[in-house]
Amino acid sequence: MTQGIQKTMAISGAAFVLLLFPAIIMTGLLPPISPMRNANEIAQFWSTNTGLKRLGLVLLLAASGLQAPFGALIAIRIRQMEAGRHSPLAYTQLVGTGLAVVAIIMPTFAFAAASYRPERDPQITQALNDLGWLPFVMNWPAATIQCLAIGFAIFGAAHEIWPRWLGYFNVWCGFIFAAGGLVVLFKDGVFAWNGLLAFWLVAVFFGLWFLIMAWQLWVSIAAPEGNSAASAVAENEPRRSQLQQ
Amino acid sequence: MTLLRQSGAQDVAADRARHVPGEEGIWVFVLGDMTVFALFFATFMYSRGKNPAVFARAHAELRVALGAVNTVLLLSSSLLVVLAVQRVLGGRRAGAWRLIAGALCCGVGFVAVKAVEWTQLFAARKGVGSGEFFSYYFMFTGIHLLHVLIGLAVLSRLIVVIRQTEFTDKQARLCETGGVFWHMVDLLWVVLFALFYLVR
Repeated sequence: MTQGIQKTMAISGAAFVLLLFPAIIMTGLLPPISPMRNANEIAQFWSTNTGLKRLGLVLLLAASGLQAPFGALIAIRIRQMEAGRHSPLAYTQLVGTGLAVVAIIMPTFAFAAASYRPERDPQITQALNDLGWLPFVMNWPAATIQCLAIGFAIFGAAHEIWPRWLGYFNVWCGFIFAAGGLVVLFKDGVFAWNGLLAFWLVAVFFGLWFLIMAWQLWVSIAAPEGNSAASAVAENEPRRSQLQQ
Repeated sequence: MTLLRQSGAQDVAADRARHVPGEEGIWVFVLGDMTVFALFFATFMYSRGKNPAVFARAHAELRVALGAVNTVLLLSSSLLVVLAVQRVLGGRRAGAWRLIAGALCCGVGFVAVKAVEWTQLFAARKGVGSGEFFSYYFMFTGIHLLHVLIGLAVLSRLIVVIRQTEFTDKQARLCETGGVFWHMVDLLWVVLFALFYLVR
């Protein structure tokens, strides 16, 4: 694995966020439309500025894939940290990454359908709007699985790759991301899909998490291939780490 | 930095000199969590300021006695954890696990009281959907309850760690870190108690 490829994979996490948020703004999802709006208002929303909205959705879809290489590099780091021949936490991380890509793709398709036929019955557009917003904000396992896998890998690391504060940060972020999971219970207030705690808090730390992880991936690139013997061993000889148990 | 961390013994000594209890990383979690709860409290007070009458009426449905019992339980458990951690750090860990076990029992008591309280509220047809006060109440105390459950897992782990024959500075610091987490759970409850049960 060359350093160039690793750097590209690390940057793709930051690129994801830098593409995601402009795409969300172009689509008109920021600030989120209130769940209290009636069908006509929602149909009105999806039938104005359709060109810009659809372009935003195309970008959103493009952004989603950038999580894959980024998540895969995190899985490599977890493997380097884990002791033993098997890497259950790295596999967990990969599953989380796969789900995270879907977490963006699925609502994007629902939003695309909502904007596709402005002339249709507003009730149907409202249903599609719900079908987009609910999974968009509610889908916490994808992110939390990754955070907890990273956190536990750092806490139980046989080879130290990342600082322990990053483990605590990840576990904490895992809980923050879970705040979106209850939006189906609310149509108004701070826990609704446009609320302070379910949306804004999660959105801020979702963005920050990608930037911080991209930074930590970047600074850990030199270590395995440089002079840190412990981590260099981890990649090629995972078995040796068992001796330290 | 890496050198420092590799030598656990020196690290603990350095920590003491700097007076940072537990390992440094836990403070990222604790301060982050307390910031989020501060945000919770601010949103609650803001909503309450907009609708004082509605909040006062809903507030009357809560039983202060149950909240007070829970506060006493958590404060006692925190005290037990302090005593246990003190013994562990002072090298007298022989009976320390019993103190942690006592704290664990208090924590289980907290969960039991909460269960009774919620059952009564549900029976009175109060839920997350019954007005602003109760949606805040169930969400915030629910998220806190999740912290308590995680705290109970942490305390159980500490009991196992303390009873192990192999016990180094690393384990001692783990006990201190676990203690820090449990104190945060306690502190957050004290504020929640004041906010939901006492403020009129």
